[in-house]
Amino acid sequence: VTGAEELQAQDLRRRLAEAEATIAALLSGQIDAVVDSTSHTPVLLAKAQAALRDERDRAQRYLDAPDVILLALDVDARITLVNRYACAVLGWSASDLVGRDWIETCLPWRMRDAFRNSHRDGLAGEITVFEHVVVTKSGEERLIGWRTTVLRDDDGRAIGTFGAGADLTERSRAAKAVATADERMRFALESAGAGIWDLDQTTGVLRLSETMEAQHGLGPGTFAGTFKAFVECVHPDDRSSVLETIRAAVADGTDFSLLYRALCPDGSIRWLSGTGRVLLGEDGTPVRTVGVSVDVTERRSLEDQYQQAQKMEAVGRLAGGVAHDFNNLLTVILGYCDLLLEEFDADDPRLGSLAQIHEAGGRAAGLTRQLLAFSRKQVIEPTLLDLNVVVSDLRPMLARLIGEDVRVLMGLRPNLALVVADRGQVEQVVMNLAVNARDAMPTGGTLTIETANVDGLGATTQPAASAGAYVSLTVTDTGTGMTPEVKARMFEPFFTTKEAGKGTGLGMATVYSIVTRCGGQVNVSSDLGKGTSFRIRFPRAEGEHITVPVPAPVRVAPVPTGLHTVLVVEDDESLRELARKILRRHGYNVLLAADANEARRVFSENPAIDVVLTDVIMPGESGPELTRQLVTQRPALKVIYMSGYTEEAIVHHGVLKLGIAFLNKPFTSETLGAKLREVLAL
Amino acid sequence: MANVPKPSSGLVLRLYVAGNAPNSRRAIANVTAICAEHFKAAHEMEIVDLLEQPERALADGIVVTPTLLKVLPLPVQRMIGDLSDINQVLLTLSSQ
Repeated sequence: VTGAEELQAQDLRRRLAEAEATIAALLSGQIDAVVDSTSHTPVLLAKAQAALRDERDRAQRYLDAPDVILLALDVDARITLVNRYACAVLGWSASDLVGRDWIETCLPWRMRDAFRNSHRDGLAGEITVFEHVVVTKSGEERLIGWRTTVLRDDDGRAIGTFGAGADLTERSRAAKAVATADERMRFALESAGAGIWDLDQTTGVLRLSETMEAQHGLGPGTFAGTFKAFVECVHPDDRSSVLETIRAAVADGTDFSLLYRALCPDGSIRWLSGTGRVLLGEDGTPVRTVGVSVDVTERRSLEDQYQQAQKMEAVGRLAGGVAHDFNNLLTVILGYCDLLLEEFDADDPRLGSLAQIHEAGGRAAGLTRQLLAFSRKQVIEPTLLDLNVVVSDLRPMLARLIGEDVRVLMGLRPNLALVVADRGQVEQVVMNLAVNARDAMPTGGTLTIETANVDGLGATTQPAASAGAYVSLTVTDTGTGMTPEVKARMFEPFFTTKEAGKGTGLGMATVYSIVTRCGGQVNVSSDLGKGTSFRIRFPRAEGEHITVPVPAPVRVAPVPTGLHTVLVVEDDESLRELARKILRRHGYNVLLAADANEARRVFSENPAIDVVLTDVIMPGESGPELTRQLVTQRPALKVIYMSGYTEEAIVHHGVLKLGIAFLNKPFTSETLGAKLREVLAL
Repeated sequence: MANVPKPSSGLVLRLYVAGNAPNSRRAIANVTAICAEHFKAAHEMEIVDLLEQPERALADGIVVTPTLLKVLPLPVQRMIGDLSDINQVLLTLSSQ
């Protein structure tokens, strides 16, 4: 054989060996595919096909296992893979979906363009997270949250996306339902004026509703959002109790209630009442504290007013109760003092001591009068008054009262209209205002008292002004002025800015009581550091009310001749005796009786009696019951009642009935004498 | 045959497979393990998936998969099957 033949033989043997090896491998099942000799394409053997199918099925099972939507799209957003859960959510079968355009098939119209753009943009990126709505086969919309990665080939070119999606529809619905319920609750609370707060115990973030911000004087959204910021909104005096209440509630996990003052940025104070609840986590530790808050400032103020009214009523009763006895005692003290003063020589060294007793008694009487005026138990005798005359007559006393450091100016308008008021009460108003003004000017200043005719709006008018006009009395000082807090409370009884023991707290309350009782008004303006001005407006007297002549100030007249006889009816022996002494000194014949029965006996035995001076309240029959009988017997008889406070029997709503003379206790020698002369002159 | 010089460089192999089919997968695993143990870095191996590149079958005259082709050193040798007979594979790869 030639060399060429030998080579060919070798090649054939090698090929034969390969063929044998191929057949052996084929028979032993080691071959996967055979290359088709005409098309030159590999054809998988059945076993390899099955194995590959098994593998794909296994992969599919992995994809189908979780309740997560798995979706692969190519660069044109055609679906290349979906899992079973995706099919369940979307309502399509996998074979329906694979190969179709995802955007045309499963997205609502309104989103298609936007999604196509974002799909293109997404291919340039890496991982994207987003939520969007898909439409199921039945047309229902569902919200899916996606996490999508970009698929790339070996050269790094994007060939599509692979996304995992969670169906958020139910969660979103539940969240919406909660939000709706929350919104309804919020509306109910806010419209009821209740603020809401919510403290996250883990982060310390505190949220307040706008209503609650407003309750603390804060604009919407301006609260700083921390518990510390809240504590700063609480009045310093209430902070420790608020902190302790919340701390204890959080420690025990119990509900709690709060009542505290909110300190607003403008310095004002609001009373807030609230309840709170501690919400515990699964491990039992507090996670949130929530609550509501209501502004109770007005309610508290009403409660305060109610308490104030009760206090005033109690004081009134007390005052009325003691006034009778107290005034009897003061009458005796002052009366005998008067008698002694008249008996002593002008150079007697004991005169000074006696004057001290008299002055103290006078002060006690003033205090009683103040209490009675404030409690509206004082008997008032309204007469026509010219305020200019009243103020002018007071001037010497004012000068003594106010001292040398304060200059007193009078601005009294001529042709002042008259007013109807009790002279003593108007004097008391002026004195109280003047004393307060003096106390507001410890280092001196100017006190101005002015009078003027004003119209209803407060403008100065001429005396001929229209009906409804007022007469104003203005007292102005250049003193310290009042803070808004003091101004707000100045008319409260027992409210005083003076040191303990210096003021009764009744001065301004009395002014207010007196002025309003006769139909007037009090206006106050005060500038801190500059001074205060009180303007009182009394209704001017109108024609038909002018029935009582203007009484000339009663002055001590010469001792009259002893022609008249007075019957004194008084159950208190010392008072009876005092009245006898004073009347005798004034030159009257005096008869005494301790009660109504004795009075009737004495009266029947003495036809010469001109005047009956009787107490109002006595054991047995009252003074008015007695005198009604006596006047029937002898119509010319004059009657004077003496009393310390208002008696319904003789006065009507605190104002004396016409034709009845009245003597306020405590009386003095002077006032008793004057009253008798007045009665006898009628 | 004795005149053919020994290759200075190492072994060059080409393995034809059909995707992820079981014998192909086994063949890849076996040849990879043999090379890693006996030829270390002195070898190159290309894996050709005929399901992806069917046209490559024609060039080397491949009839079935898996087929391992020893390209270098010459002579070219081919082995058929899953290459589980490791001794036979070693012998073929070492032959000149």
